[in-house]
Amino acid sequence: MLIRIDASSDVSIFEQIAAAIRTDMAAGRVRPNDKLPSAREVAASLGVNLHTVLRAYQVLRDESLVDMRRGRGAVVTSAAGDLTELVGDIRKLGARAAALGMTADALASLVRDSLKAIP
Amino acid sequence: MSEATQAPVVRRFIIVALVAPAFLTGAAMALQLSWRHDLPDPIATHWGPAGAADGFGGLAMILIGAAVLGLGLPALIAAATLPLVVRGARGANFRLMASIAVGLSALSAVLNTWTVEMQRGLADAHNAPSVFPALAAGFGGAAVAGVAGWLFQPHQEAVVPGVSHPNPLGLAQDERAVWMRTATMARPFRILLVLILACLGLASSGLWFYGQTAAAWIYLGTMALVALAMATTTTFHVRVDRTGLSAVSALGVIRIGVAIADVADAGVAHVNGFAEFGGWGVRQRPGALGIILRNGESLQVTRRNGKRLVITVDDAETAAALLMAFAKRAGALPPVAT
Repeated sequence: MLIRIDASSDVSIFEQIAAAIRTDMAAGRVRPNDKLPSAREVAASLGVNLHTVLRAYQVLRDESLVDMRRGRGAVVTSAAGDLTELVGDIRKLGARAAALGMTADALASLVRDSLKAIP
Repeated sequence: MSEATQAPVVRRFIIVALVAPAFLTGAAMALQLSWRHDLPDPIATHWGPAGAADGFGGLAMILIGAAVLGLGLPALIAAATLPLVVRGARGANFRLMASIAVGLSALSAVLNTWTVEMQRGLADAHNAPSVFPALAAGFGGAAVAGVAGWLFQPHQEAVVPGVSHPNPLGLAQDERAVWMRTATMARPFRILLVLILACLGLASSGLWFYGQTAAAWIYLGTMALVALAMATTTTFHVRVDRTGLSAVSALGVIRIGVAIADVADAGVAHVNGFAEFGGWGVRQRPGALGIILRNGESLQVTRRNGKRLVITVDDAETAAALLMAFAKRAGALPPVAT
């Protein structure tokens, strides 16, 4: 599991941590039933506040990607496996967008705006 | 490594790991056979923990044992290790494997020949003397042969064929990053360990049932040791961050690490536990320390003093790339030679 944090980014740190773990899930590097490292350990390694990491884990829990259990830590759910499948669809979409001459950023903002339109 | 120094390594490995054991085993078996008319029938083939003979059979059993331990095991070691050496792998660990092979062979030759020799002229093998002098001589012979085998082979700098060096991750000056992964022993080994535990448990309760309390305690103690070893050495949490690489076993008992300033190189290579480290687990070898929980993809970190740390862990490529990025940023890397 690779987590990178860019302090100069506009994206808040807990979001960056959650995004990094999500990316690893999508790439299949973090699989269902894997245990995420303890938030304390991640916080110490990155030099960030423990609550920042816990907040990132909560974001993933709210997305049903991890299950938080007392004494067992954060365990990756089967939904992470579905995320891996989603990546295939995203790649196809990206290839079509690239064929149309769209940049990745343009596609991402188009996706974001399109999803906002869905109630 | 130049061609001139390449040839002796392979040739001398073969001499130490195969030719010498064949010679030792052949000589031992010839001697044992030559005494066949002076021996009691049956002869003692096994000795109990107190040193007295407790197993009897034909000379053929000794001969088969001598062949299996004296030549079979060395051949097994050579079969696993030699292909790697031929392909260009080098290191003190390979040198040690050949030394172990000839040492085992010497142990077998001396122990078997001695135990046969001491029964010459006996009418009844039950009167065979204690096995301890033969054991001592066997281990002495193994040590001598092992050291001789080691010295006979040339010194070799570590070479890991097929090691790949992923590009260091592009890290911004103030970017923070961590890579974490849990490395677990391969399932067949875990099943094997659980089976051993179950057998020890069964043996212990059986001995208890038959009133052999002392032996039951020994088995129980062994079981506790195996369980402890299993709990502490089959799972490692591996981490790469700005301070370097660390591998911490379950329960935190074993902690192995490389500080970022001590990282000279990091790469990924296929590892074969038996051929390179003589087995699996936490393996100390001259020039290399291995956390070898399975065969296959491994993270290979070279310290500034040339010693290697090898950890079998998935996604080792990312770990190596991040470790190199941190080492580069810390200004710790020596100038690139390639």
